[in-house]
Amino acid sequence: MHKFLFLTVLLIIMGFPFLSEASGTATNRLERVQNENLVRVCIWPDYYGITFRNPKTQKLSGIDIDMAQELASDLGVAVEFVDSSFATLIDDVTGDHCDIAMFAIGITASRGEKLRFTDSHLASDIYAITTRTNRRIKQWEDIDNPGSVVAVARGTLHEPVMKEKLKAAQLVVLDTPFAREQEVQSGRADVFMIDFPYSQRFLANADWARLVSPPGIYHVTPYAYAMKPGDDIWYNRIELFVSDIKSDGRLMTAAKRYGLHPIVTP
Amino acid sequence: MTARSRLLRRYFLAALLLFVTGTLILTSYTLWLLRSDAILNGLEVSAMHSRSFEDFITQNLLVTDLVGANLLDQEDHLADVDHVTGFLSSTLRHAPFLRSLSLLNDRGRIIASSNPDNLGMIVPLESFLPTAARGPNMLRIGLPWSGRDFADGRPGEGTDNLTSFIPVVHPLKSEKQNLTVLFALNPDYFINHMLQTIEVTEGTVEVVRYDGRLLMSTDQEEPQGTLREYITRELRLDEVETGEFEQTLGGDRHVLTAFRASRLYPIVIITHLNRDYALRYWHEEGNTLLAIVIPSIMAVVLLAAVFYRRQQQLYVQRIENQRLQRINATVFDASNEATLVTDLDTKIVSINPAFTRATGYRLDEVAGRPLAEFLIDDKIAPCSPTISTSTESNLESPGVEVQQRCKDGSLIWVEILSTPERDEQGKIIGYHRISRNITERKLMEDRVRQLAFHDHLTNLPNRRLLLDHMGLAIASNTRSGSHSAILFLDLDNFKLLNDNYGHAVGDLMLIEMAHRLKKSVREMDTVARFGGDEFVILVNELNVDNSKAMTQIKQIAEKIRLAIAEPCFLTITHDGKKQSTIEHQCTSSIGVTLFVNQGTQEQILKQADDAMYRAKRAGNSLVIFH
Repeated sequence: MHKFLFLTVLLIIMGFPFLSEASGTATNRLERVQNENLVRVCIWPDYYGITFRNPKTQKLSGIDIDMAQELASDLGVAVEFVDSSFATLIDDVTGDHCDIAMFAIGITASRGEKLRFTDSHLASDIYAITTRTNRRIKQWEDIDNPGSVVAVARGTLHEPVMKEKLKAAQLVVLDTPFAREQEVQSGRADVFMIDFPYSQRFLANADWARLVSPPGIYHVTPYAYAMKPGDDIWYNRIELFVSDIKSDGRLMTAAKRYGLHPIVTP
Repeated sequence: MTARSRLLRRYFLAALLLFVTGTLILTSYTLWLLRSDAILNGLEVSAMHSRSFEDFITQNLLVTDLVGANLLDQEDHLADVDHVTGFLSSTLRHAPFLRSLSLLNDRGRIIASSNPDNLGMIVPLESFLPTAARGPNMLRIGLPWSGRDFADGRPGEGTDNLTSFIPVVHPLKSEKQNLTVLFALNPDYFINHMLQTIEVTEGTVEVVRYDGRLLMSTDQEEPQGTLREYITRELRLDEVETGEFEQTLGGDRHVLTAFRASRLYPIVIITHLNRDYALRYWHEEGNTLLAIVIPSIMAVVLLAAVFYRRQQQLYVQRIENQRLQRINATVFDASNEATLVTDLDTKIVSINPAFTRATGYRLDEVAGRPLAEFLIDDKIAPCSPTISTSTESNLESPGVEVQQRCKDGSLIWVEILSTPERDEQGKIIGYHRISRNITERKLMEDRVRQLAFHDHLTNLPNRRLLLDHMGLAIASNTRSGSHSAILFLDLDNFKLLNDNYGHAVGDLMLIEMAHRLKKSVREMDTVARFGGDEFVILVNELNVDNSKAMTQIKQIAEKIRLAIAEPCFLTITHDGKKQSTIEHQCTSSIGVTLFVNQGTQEQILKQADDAMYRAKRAGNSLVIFH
């Protein structure tokens, strides 16, 4: 099956070069990556469990750091990580700052208009983090009340979701690194919204933090890798990669390493 | 119960009570020591927490102070509100213990703030400590506000008590202006830090101003701003800045309190460690100790009671034994029966006075010597197994009858009755022996035997004894084949002598004839008197050959006939005085029969009798054979 897909990709590359002409790119990205022997991967270095740069060691870790290295390995090239964020994601990808964004990007309608997503590899609901001493937020239902302040990072999928869902609480959209944590810890905000991967790593390190989980399913978002639209050859190659890591167990192995196996999509 | 038993019982109970009381006192003392140690340790832990939190809060306030001082460096730009706001916002970013940063003008109005909503607010500074007069650039701490920030908050308790903050100011007095930096201190940051160290179940931590007002508490139910009167009433913070003590809060909450004043600011950090929490290990240790001690005491008391009961039984038994020994000793000494005690080897251990009276021996003369030394009897010499076996096997056996040598050399007949003496396991350890003097009985028995088997006049065996001897002879002849003979002898004309001189002379005559007959035969032969003038002689161990035996008996019969025929002189006495002497010659008719084992004794006697009558009829002084 994999071989078949690989042959298909080869045929597309070798037998139908006019297709890449049709996509509007002078040379397709796969060729460029191979020619340059480098694949540039956009990451958000504050993303616990996904693409996190430890400020003390400057070392990157997370499931998508591992997957990016697997991708480079599959392509037989080196990998270069380019710092990005959800706020600058679209510009970074469409502006050709990187060949692919690999930091568990939630597939939202607004992003779908600007980016081309692979098949999802993870899917997470939304969770809230508050302080252990916060008296206002005891459970999920306490969040959307008058007087509550909810913080989200600009550009994250939480921003549109919470804008839509919150009726009574005040929403604060932040765009500086770790601003959400600072706002909540200082008491200027009561909770900040995160996803499953972030919560897992974050709670392990912050003694002051308390997780508030929704009682049922709140808003599950599928996560995937994002590319500039067009360039089917590159897209197909990446889809083949996603298919490979799912089927050969590399994704699950990495997910288990970071405690993310409950949210791996089949 | 005797007086001694009662006394022992009293001593025992007193000792037991002393032991139990002593053990309980020691246990209680140990528990008390452990508890004191736990309390002391709890107070130390409480003090350690206070020291740690004081350092943490003071450091953060110092940072706050430095932020204020840094603003003074911006003095030239303070008029530029945007610049100041940007500076305040960027400063706030890495200070989670601050909620907002604002700048107050000299009228107490907020002219710049990290939170734009705060602008224009007037913040009264009267209640801040220390008071303004104390120092120009000193950090001053206000009373808590309810709300998230000045914009939506109010001093003290408000409608929204879910969030609160503490206003702190740092005056920026200079020649150019009289501004003040206003901080909204985030108490949750400190409470979070303290709760991570000490849970509410373990104790609470409070931060109180010097005037006793509560700034924050890890117990979120405590209303902020409450007055802690004991701070001003009992703690002399100007003199002593640290201390520990035990107290009760709210009537029933026992805590180990440690306070420590901030080294720079007018606040004191008080840790109330719950006493139960501090004593949690003591409770476990106490339970463990009691779980060991109480069963141990019960076991010791039980064992002591069992031991005491056993001792009492033994005591009663010993008293009874002593009583019995005294009775036995009295009976032993007072008994008329000569009694002695020997060991297993029949060596004499003790004798009673009756024994001394009977034999003449004293205890020191016989002690340790074998009993057999004093007995003369082939049956028991050289020692006395017979004695022991006979008595041991049957206590009701009459024992043994032996002759005992007295100290004066005389012999007495005694019957020794032995009773084994046994130890607690039933093993024989010696014998009690009664040595009963039966000398008189023995003599009487001899006399009776004499009367039963002998003719009282001549002292010759009578018919019954002769029949016994004949039976023995027949049995002997059967084995050896030898012959025996019966000689039936009747004196001729004996009646005439009786008639002429009386029976007394007749008796003398019979005694003389008996004497002659005994002299005529061997010792092994038997001469018997059947009554009247009839004598029967049993002669044994004649030749096996009949004719030779016949020859032998003929000679003997003839010897007898001649002996009888010898004249005899009979002396008649009256009252022991000789009166006259009579000469008389007597003849005899003798019937003889020879036998080996044929016929009964009576048949053999009949044959001899018949022969004797034939001799009578044939004329006196004849010997006729059957």
